[in-house]
Amino acid sequence: MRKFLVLSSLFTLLLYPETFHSIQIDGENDFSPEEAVVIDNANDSYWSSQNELDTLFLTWNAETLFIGCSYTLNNNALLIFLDTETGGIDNANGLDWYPRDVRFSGAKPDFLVALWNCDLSLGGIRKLGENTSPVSYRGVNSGSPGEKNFLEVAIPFEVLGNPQKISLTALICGGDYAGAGDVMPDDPSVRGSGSAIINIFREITIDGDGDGVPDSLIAPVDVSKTEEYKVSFPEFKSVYIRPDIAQTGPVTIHVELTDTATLTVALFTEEGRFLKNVIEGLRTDFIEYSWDIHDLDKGIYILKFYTSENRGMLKKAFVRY
Amino acid sequence: MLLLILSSTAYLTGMGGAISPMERPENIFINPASISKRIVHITFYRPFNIEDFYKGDLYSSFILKGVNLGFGLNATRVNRGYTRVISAIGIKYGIFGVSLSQKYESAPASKSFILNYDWNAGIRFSLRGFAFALSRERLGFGFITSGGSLSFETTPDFKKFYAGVEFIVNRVISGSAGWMNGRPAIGLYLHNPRFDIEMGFLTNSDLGETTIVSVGWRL
Repeated sequence: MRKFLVLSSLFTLLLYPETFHSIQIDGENDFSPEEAVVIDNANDSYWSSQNELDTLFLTWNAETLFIGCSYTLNNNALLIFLDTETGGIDNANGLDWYPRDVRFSGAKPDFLVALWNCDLSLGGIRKLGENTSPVSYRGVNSGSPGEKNFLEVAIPFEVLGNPQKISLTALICGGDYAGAGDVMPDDPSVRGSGSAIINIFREITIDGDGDGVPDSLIAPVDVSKTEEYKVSFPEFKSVYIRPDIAQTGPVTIHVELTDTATLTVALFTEEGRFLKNVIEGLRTDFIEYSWDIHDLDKGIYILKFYTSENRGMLKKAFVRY
Repeated sequence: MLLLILSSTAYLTGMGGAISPMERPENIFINPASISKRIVHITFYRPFNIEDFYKGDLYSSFILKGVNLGFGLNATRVNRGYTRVISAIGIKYGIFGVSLSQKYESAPASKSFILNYDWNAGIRFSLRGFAFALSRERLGFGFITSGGSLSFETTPDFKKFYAGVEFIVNRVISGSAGWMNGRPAIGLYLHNPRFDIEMGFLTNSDLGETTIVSVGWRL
């Protein structure tokens, strides 16, 4: 009976691989199907089958997190954003490394795995913040541009801050400051052009009992779920220009936001022709700006208020007479 | 006459603003030699849907003993305090036209108003569907057929460029597309023998869209 139990347990383990599972970082895909935490829809890329995400794998042992990704890429970038619940960014366009026109709502990624055109030596893994910083990892990418590729990386949990949960999203993006052509898990904000606001992430619970040690005997797919967050960004609370009809200065531009954001105030002619930015890329949640209007000709102007975190904008008219 | 009205470009309602070669009453400000025949046009819009920012135009032109006479009013109201009204009267005889305009501005802070005067003069002539117009404000060229029209226009310093094309589907419906102040514009027009409704959409990637509605009566 005891022999039967041991054999059946071994048989179960072979059929259903569970953590702890150590992955050989050699470019060969030895993740199991139970470690395929996201399987992307086939042929759903906006940029043809040459730039297509396939499957995202994840597993771990006691000390290391292993991430694998199968994909096809041609002259573009693969980016895997990780949120480990310790701060993070909400706009990848402001990064000093692999900046892309991708924003985040709900989860705030704090690590990025990136490569360019199937070449990991042109990328790597960095911790995200105002300045990015490289972290210790092992990784290999196998394959060539335009063909099926497999990327696998191993990151020590110590580097990641021993998280209880990790949220992931993987994207194929163009060059610096460009948008995304494919994403997994699927997110409707990725449309092949323009800004994307990612609010759908795959969340994997690594330390469910909260004992500070990654859980063992777990099939990662069983502790994975797709989280869809509400898209919410800082909004304008109050905006006014005093006075809004003026002959001479000073003119006060008052802006109050619901949260800190990167504010720009742009000046346009009455016909809608852009003239200049009065305030450009200022991180703030409240400002009373003294605007010098001496260099303005007499006429009607339009001021556009917007933040880089939000697609919404506010417009006000101003008259210098 | 109907053909001329249908094939004329719409100044603010999507035709790209290229109007000086065309016989439109709005031309009283741009080229008085191109004011049209008997018609009244009223236009209203809010630029880029900005709060407390309104614009309206009233144009009328008619014929008296073989002479085209025109009247135009262009009013702007901003932030519940600033008002600007430009009015003009014009006369056209043959290929020549002149107009006189005055600008009135008032702002609440100074409790004062400013009055400026200006004048304009131009010529317009046509030959086998081609129309040429030259004035202090614009230099224009157009080609008019029963199926539609093409028009181009620039300022004397060549810094601004306007272009438009109009398709006349039938006597009731016509459509247009154009280029105005560096931005695309489209328009839709509904006509009957005495009445026009024009809807135009100006798009601006930075500031959004402006919807303009214009109505006209033939006198």
